[in-house]
Amino acid sequence: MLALPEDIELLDKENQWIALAQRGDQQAFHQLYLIHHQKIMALAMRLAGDPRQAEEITQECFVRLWHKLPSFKGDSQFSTWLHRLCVNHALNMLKTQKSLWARFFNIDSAPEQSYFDEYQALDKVILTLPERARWVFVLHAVEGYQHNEIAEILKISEGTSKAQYHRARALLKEKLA
Amino acid sequence: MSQLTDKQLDDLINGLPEEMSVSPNVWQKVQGEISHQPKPNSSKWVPMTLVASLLLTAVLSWKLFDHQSLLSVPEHNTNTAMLALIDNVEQNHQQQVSQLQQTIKRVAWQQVPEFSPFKKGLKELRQAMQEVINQLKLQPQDKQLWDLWLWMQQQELNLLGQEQRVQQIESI
Repeated sequence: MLALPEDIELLDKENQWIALAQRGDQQAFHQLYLIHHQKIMALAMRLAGDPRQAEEITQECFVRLWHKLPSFKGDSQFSTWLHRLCVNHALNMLKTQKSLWARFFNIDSAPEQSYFDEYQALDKVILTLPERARWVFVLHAVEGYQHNEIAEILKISEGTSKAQYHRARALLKEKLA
Repeated sequence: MSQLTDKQLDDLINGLPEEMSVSPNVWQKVQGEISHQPKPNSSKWVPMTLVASLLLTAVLSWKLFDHQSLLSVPEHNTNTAMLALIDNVEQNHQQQVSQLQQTIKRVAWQQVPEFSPFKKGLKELRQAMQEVINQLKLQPQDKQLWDLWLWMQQQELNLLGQEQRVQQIESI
């Protein structure tokens, strides 16, 4: 599909904001935040399964972006690069928080149901999946990652990734019936 | 109630929103953090960061060493017990699989073509299960891997049960 003129204009502006933000311009960085933060929130929400944690992840992803921005050379699309950066950072945060939490409390913390009220039916059910099945499902089915990429990101085998994905689908079909 | 089809699930996935709303104070927090920190390419912080990292590494290493020396024996014992449990669960499962396979007529089983969806699915499932078991033996206290493995065992039994039922119907 051909890009619309307004898309091209936005991409041009985005490239300018990237260049300015790389030199420390916070206003330009804010523009980048405005374009991308809601997509990052959706990713974080589905990975974390908790709105408060998802907002914290979104916040920390943009702080990390601020520091990593000088290393963006434009070899790939900015949105793709940012997305990968945030997936890695979100999963690192979740693993660290999980292990810290687990050291003090031997429970799986589940947010109150009322937090989920504003989300669509499928999202509500995705959030109830077991953590790693959810990560694999979100990365493969929603974000379009291949199983070999997921295996690399999560440091699991490709077979485990596929098995988690099929298990997640089976659970979703069961819960949505 | 009938279960969702794959197509229906795929349609729901395709309809998921790409964006979700964020509280307005998130940007304020981001701004607060980046304003108190150096600009992305500021070089004067590099030596300080390096020194801080070295100090942190030294303290954490000391703490970790101390922690491990206190906990290494019980953890080793727990892992040994968990590995024994894995072997035990695996043996029980294999017994169930054998019993189920025995009830499937031997001749009929051999007549199932090697490339049938059933045999192909079973082969793939067993390969994936082996990978999960290998991973579980490295992380025997990983609850989610346990859940996945037990779920896969159930899938294997379901698959064999389905094949058994198909053969019973075909033999009538």
